[in-house]
Amino acid sequence: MEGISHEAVSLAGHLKLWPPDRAVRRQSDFHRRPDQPLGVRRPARALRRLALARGAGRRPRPGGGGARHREARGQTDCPSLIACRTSSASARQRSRARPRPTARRWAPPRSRARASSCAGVTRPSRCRNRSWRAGAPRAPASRRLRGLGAGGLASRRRGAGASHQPIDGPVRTAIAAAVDSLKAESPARRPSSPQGQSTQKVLEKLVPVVPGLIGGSADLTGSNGTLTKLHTFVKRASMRATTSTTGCASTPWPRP
Amino acid sequence: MAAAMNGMALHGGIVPYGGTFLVFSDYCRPAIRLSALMGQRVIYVLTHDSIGLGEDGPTHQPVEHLAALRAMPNLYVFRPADSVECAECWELALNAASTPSVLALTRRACRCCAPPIQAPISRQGRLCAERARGRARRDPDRHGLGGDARGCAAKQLAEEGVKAAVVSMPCFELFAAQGAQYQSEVLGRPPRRGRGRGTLRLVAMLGDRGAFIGMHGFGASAPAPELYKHFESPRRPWRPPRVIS
Repeated sequence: MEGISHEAVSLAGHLKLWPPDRAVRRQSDFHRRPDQPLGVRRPARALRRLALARGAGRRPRPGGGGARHREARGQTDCPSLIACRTSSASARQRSRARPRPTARRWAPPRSRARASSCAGVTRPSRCRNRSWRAGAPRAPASRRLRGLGAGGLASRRRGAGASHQPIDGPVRTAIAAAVDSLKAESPARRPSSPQGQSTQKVLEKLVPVVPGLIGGSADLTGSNGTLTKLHTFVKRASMRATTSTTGCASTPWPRP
Repeated sequence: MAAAMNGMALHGGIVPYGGTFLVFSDYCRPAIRLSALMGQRVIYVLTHDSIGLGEDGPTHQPVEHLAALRAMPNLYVFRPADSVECAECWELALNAASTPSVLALTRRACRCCAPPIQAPISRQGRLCAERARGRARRDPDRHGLGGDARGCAAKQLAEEGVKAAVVSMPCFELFAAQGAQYQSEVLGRPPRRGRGRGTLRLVAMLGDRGAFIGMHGFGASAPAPELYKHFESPRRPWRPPRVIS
């Protein structure tokens, strides 16, 4: 997915957000239909170039894809970047592919029980990825094509079908209350104010009530109106707390 | 920065926002397009939307950027006119779960043009001057569109005896989603005059007899008052249009 680009991987490596054994997979979904079996090409040159350019992973040794994958997963402190190009499997691979037990198409799971009912759909046997072997449940193809959707990665990490929404009903109500208070006091306090200060006031009202609202600016943060006193540095612990099973709304970010 | 925000939004549980100059949206454009394509809730705070940057010159003065952003599908481009609309636009951006948002803000001071109204009306477009003065004009002669139009234009038009209704339309996309009756009620009958820097959808709203007041070329490097004087800004006394039909 090109949306998660090198910058995001670099940021994750700098902040050490990922667990040590977590590998970041970057793949392109071109030339693929959802009903086709999958094959994975392991571009050694791209993997080596990206690893050297970003410093995010150890330089891979020449060898098979499995060894390279194991080496990437064996990193101690850095997230590893594995560049894969997902492509349609060849006719030979399709002929060797394990027949699917059911012809049922995958549908978005609504609950854990519904997700377990899709376990019969398996990945092709020719795939050398270890996590895809042994009849592992096939990841939802429609979700991959849609770019994982809101909270897709977090929900997949938790293994539950329910997506994690940072803004739900109570948070939405709190946002409306904060905006109403701002609207009530804006004309009385300062009839003429630069909009940079306006958006900064809005952020100072919204950040306490929206736990997942986080941001800033590349530079000139104060001039861009994105500087708030309520933010703190993002650390691995806060990232884990946010993506835990308890949900974002119940586990607020640590504030100074 | 914009690509990193996409990754954070895809991670889930986070509503990322990031700020930079509006003129640098060209550098963020591939990532903004991807967030629109993927339907992620990412908020871009793009400031310094004005030729009033002054000495920074035309390299830092956005002209066509707002129109280019408004041409992108599945992207809300908010251009609030005052602090009240700014707060409303933040609320709308946060509640847009599958649409990224751009908040285009100016560095200039903006007066509040209307008393605060409890209902969020930024999504509909509104008649600022009418509501502020507590009167309704059914047959206005001129309409203004865009965030910069409302303040001095309405006052100067009233002094010159021109009946005018000034419409501040923070988000064209949300206004276009309203019904045709509401749109015609807000915009009235042409001729209309629009002010702003986005000309693509604005020209369509102006109609055949409308006119556009704004930047047709690049800016210049000079102190802001001199720039406004040079480009005949709305801070100067506004004259009625010579050619309407």
